Amino acid sequence: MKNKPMAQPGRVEETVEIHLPSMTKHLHAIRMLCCTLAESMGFLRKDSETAALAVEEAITNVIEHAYHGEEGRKMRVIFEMEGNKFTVRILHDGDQIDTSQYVLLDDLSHFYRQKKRGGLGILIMKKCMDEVTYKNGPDQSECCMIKYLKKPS
Amino acid sequence: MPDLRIDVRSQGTVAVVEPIGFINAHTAKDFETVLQNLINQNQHNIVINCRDLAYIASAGLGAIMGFIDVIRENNGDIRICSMNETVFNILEVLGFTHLYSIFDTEDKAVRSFEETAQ
Repeated sequence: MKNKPMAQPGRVEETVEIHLPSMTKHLHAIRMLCCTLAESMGFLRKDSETAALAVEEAITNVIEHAYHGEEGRKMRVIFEMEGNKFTVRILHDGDQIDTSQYVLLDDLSHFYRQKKRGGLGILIMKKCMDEVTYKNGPDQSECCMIKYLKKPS
Repeated sequence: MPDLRIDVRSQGTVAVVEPIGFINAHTAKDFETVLQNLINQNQHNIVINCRDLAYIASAGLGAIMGFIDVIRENNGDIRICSMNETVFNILEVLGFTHLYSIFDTEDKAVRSFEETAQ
């Protein structure tokens, strides 16, 4: 059996797309799926779990801040596996999430000193993923997170 | 199996809270209620035994952070023990391990309160 050739840059090898309503009861299922997909790419269990936690936090933010807890609104979660790049995109049509207030909160001590609780999820996302970006459009907003599979040293 | 069950028991002057399952935005309210009830009963020495906690997300960590000030102002503390690798990793990544005392067993965590009191 021949080895599968490496993915070409810019080419999406595999995509898994999930549509789900804005309900926290689905968080665990998405987490399990994310973990399974990351592990299938070769991520260690530890890294798969941190990626899954970041995805769970991003979806929680959409439910709480874009949809203000309203159940049944639409969300799309797209997992893209391309070479060593694991991309997770979370799309919604709720309110735009203002992340600017969290820019300076790079570690937990800020939260502790300021007695803050909100924004902890974004800190987790930043710590667990290599890249976290937000795009806000007129009809749809997106949180995009990327984690790279590093070669063993 | 429910997503989260929380057992609470007394070990001398210490309340041991044992979440079984996972704590995320779906289940954190129950966890928060348990902590709030202990504080309402003036129980400020708390050990969270994580041996059957599969994972904890920001909603659960936020609950701990939200109560820690009032607990420490009352000369108490929240101490954490028996974490699996998943839970420990997330606490370590976030720096929780610098802000909270971590123990590998419940016995050590409970005894640490007795040592503090002496």
